[in-house]
Amino acid sequence: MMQHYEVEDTILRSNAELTLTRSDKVSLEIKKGTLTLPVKVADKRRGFIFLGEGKLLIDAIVETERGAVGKPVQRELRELFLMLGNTEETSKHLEKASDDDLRRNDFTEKTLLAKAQDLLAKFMGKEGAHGSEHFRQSEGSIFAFPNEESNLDLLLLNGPRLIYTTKDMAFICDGDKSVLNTPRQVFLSAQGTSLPFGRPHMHNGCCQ
Amino acid sequence: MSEDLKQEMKKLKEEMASLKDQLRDAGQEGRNKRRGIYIDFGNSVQDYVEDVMQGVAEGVHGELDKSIFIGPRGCRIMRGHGPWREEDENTFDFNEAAKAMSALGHEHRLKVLSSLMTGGKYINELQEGLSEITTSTLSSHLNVLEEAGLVVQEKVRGRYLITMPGRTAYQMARKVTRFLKAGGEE
Repeated sequence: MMQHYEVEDTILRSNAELTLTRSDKVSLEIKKGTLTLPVKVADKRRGFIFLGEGKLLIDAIVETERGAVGKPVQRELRELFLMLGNTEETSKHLEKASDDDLRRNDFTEKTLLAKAQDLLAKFMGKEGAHGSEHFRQSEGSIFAFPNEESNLDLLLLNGPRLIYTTKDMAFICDGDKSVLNTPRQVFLSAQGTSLPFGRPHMHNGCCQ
Repeated sequence: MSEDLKQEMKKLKEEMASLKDQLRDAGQEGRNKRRGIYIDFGNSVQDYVEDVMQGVAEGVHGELDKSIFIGPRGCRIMRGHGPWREEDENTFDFNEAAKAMSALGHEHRLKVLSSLMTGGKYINELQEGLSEITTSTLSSHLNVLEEAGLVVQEKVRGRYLITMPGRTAYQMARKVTRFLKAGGEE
């Protein structure tokens, strides 16, 4: 059954610098004062939409016996982005935002809410058709970042498993098994043994 | 057994032998027929085939000339060496190559690459093998290697890893050195 996702109209702000996720391969932090809009699924808080200063680091690097392939992704987050997953820890560091907080970011309550709803609608356009019910029961997190082409780059995390997809690349990592799909080549690696081959026409998972 | 019967038996044996021969010939003919159709195209086709074969032979001979090096210490087969083409030279990025070679051109940077050949390392682990230089000097060497694409640094954990081009470049440096030490005869 398809779940109903909606943005709460309560605008909050982070009262500390927060690490939304951190592992060997990925780190996502937001600065103190980041505007935060909770996302509800079936009347339960299941995620947030953030706007403020954030930093995303992903080591999209495959280690092979012939050397490392790929490069780290380092991204400053200044646009709205979505997080769905465990909200408990983050909720502890949120407080009600003031009008000044909104003004500092050149938004009113109404414009910010509209923009957040647009982002959620765009995400649901892709994800709602096949992933929402599964996600509701999952322990992992999903992040969606708007990119320059007005599409969404997706980051999915669940334990040691990581999937990051953009227009130009897809990186999948599960412990010592990795796949890196670049415009030129695809690298498969398991326990240090690699298998590079020419890039077939693969769907890179980027939201249209 | 009467003499007539013996004669009759002899005749029958000869007939059987003759029939066997005929059968064998017929079988052989059948097999020949199954192998293909023989058509005589005359000398022109034969000449053409001979020309093709000669071309192939010359090509193989030429390739062998390029890939087999016979020196005073014996014979060596050079693998993976394609013909030297001028168009390759036109597209060769000399600037990029110079940058990579320049990154290799320092003893400490070569030592860093050597250390990374066994796996990713943090800067303090690299420093242990290079106690003769300071951490800031090591950092600047790592920056040069990273800029040339021979090394990549993980942004989350901070480890340094040798890249595929880095590994190839280091192996190439070792090979060139060995070659020079052997007086260019390897």
